[in-house]
Amino acid sequence: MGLIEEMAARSEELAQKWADLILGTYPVETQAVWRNNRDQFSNPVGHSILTATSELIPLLLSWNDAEAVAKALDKLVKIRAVQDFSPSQALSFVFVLKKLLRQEFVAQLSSKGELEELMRFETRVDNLAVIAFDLYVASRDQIARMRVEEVKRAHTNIVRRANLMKADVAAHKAD
Amino acid sequence: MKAIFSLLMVLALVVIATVGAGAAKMQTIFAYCIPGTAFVIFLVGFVCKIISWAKSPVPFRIPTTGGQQQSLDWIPQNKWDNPSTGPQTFMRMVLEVLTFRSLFRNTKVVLKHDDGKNPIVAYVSAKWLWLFAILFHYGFLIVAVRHLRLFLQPVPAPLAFLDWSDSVLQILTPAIYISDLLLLTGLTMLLARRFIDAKVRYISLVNDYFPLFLILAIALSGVYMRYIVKVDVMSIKDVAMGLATFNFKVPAGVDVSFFVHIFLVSTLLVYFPFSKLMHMGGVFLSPTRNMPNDTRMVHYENVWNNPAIKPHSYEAYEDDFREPMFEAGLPLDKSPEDAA
Amino acid sequence: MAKIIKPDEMLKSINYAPPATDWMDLPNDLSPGRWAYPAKLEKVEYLMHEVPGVFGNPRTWNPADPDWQLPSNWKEIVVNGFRERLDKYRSLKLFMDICVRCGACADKCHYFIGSGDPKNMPVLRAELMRSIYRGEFTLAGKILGKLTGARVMEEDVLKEWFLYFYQCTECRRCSLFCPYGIDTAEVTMMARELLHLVGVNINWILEPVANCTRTGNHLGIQPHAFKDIVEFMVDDIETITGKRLNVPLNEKGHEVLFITPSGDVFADPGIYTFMGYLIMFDAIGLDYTLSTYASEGGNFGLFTHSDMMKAINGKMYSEANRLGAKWILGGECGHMWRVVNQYMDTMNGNLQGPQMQTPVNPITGTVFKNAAQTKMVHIAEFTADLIKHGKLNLDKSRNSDIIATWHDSCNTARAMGMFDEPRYVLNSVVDNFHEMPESTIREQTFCCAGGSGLNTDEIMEIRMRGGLPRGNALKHVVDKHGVNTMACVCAIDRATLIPLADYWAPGVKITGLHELVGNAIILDGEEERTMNLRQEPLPGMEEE
Repeated sequence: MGLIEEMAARSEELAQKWADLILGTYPVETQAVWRNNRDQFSNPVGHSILTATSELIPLLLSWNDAEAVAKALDKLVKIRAVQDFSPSQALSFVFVLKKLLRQEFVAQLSSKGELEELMRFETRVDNLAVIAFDLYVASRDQIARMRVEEVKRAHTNIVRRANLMKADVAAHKAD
Repeated sequence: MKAIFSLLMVLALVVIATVGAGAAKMQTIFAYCIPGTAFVIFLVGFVCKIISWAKSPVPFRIPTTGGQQQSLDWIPQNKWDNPSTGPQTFMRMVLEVLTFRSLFRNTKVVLKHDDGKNPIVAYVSAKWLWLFAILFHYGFLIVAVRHLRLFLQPVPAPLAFLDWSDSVLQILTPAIYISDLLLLTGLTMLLARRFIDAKVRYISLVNDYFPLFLILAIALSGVYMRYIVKVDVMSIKDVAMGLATFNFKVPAGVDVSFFVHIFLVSTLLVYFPFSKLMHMGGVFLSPTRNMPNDTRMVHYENVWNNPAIKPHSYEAYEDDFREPMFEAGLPLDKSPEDAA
Repeated sequence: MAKIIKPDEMLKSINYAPPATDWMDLPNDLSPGRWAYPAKLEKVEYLMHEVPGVFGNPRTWNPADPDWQLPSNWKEIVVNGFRERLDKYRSLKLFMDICVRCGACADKCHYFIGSGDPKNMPVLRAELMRSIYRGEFTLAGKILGKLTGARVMEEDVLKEWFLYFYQCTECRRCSLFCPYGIDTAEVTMMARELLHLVGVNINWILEPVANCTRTGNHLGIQPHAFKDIVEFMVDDIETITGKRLNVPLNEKGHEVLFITPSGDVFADPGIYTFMGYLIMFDAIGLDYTLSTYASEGGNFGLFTHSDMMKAINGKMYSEANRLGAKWILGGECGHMWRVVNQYMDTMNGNLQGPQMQTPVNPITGTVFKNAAQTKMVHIAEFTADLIKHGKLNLDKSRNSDIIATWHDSCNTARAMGMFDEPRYVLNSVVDNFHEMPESTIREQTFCCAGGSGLNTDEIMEIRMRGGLPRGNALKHVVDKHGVNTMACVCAIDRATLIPLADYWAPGVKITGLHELVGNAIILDGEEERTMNLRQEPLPGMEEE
């Protein structure tokens, strides 16, 4: 059985293990809470992590739908973009997948002399990281834009009046 | 760490009682002096604490509203969760105190899948905490009330009936009490929850573990006395009656486990007024629960309301902006000429 | 910005689970983005003059600096202030004593759900203060110290209070689930009062409070400018409906004084809600006036100190008296209604003039018995009554492109209990309405994460993670029912839910309730409408 086939067979288990590694990037107390509670509404973060990993593993295997990959990634990136993470920490969740794959498959593949297969697969993970980077920056841009827009909205009518004043002054000069 | 410390404290108490009443023969002290003093401390402490709370006024009516308010006649009010009268508030409190309604509210949402594997939202309640709390509190209440028969001669009929119905299962000799099972199950579950649930473990203090271990030790020593050593209840009743009637006789033929039991109970009594266990009294005073949501309907007085605090006056406002207001054609109390 | 860490540190943080640290030993992270900007010196000075004894230590300072320039006796001020409040508020004293740390509240806070930061669990937030209570005021705490969860007041504790009592929106969701009704909002209010005494504050709250005191509204808009702005909206209504409305300002002798949060006057999309009010008042011929002096329904004083709240709130009755209004109609606002419902009459009832009467709807004759004492009616109650009696001529089809859901605001939900009135109004003006999941609405509603004066842009990340539970529930109905509009009765919501929806559930428009009412109302003598109040084409008019 090749790497892809084996991953496909163990897809659920791998998704779970990857999610556990991602949870490991949070403080211990937080992990414990988020691990135990899989509810979409009372624990959206824990739920999103598991949903994202479950969706991404099959997508990585088929590797033919960039849009679907981006959509699945976005769920997680958006959350991590507003948590107290540095950019590197925020995106580290992609790279822990490499760690997982090595843990799970290196011994077995190297004994069969098929390590190359894993290395080939890892380029997909690297690509995943690049997509995640785009999404992360887009989220951060959005936050910055929302700040500016919020201030503008708060002053909509004030700005309108300020413009009116300018018009008045201009009219006065014309006289 | 905090749990181990608490456990050690309770074990130390057991040792003190065993050594004190057993080896050191200070049975009179352990039978009368300590429980008597503890009871007095409990009573005085409890009353003092309630008085100290009651001394602080309630400046504002701040009920947490848990349902539809009383408003237009055709909109049904949720009278128990958002009461607007005294009797409705009383009902809210009754439900809160007797059925732990707020804990019962604890629900969580889960995503399930229907037959076609489409996700559907389902609601399951997270009622474990409520269940453990109910088991423990009612178990404890019945056990405590049942013990009154040791202090009363003759035993009043309702107490005898309680005792009979509590042991109605008729298994083992002496017959096992249902309330013992409730109490022990509730306690164990509450304790286990503190260990297992990560977030509860994180917030738990010695103040949380100690009373749990203490009550557990009390219950276990009681169970040990009744079911294992099978102590002579009549001689214990002599001691209890002696305590109640101030007729102190040297205890005779009483197993040392009794002294451990009564010493732990004394500790609980002393500890009670100075601890979180005072929630027993406090729940009745909680302003977010025991007040009607009615301050738009009737006046409520704040005893320290300071009438000297006045809003920035309209006069000062008009003085500030009279010219532009006049120019904009806004009505004025004083025209610019009058003000000048 | 988050600090840049070295790759090896990062790997460590991934591979190595740090040891469980007791919360008291966790250091404060005061990096920018974790706190809102402190108040400007002159705002603090102005307020110290207006309401003495509430604010202190005016200075220019930066929370990221190690030295917060506290007064030398700050500890004494805080501890004495704490003691004073224990004697003034039974709630505080009780809540310090009776918590059993059962954990029922722990996962109920939107900030905890979104951030996972243990200090955002309501029980631990209160414990930040409770630990000081034990350490400073109880014998056991003084003797046994940390074992019993006690500690004494230190500068780091003060900083921790600043971080975490400004990550509580006083939404009271935790209080609902507490078996003893312990209300973190109450604890947060007390902590903030203490922080104000030593000059630890945020500008986003104090500037509106100062502005509101002097000019009558949060943005500090002066009366003549206020009048111009109202005129703009009258112009816009004329553009949309072809009818020019008369809007009285500061006029004496009207039956009703109408007060709404100033956000409705200045900020998009509140302005459309404001236009909705004006259209409805015209439709029923209400005898009302607005006031520039009392042009702010919201009361940021609530987020500082009870005295400050009282001073700001007093304007409502004073102005009703000066103008001879019989009762006050209140606009769509959240915390304004917490103040009106739970504090107003208690604080300022003595200011009510003899002309004030139990509110009666002049159109339907309905007596608002539930407002007999405050003489103040919520506009959703008022409108629901009008619609029930068939007094509004409504064309629902103008809102037919809207698939709506309803966001209950924390304060009208858990400090008032107004649920069915706005829903009745909403259902009367839109065809398609879907509720969000049960545990996220009504009394269990999730906060917009910008309440209690935290709706400022410098803490956008905190707001977004706190907004995750609401956004997540919203996303659910977007996916399931195609919801495209979330309506609410709160001016802060109308500002904060926009970025929240933008981030977590893109494509959802935020509106006030009366924007939708204004769209649906058919005015006497209006022209056929082709656009809604936002001047977007009405359904069926798009091609023009």
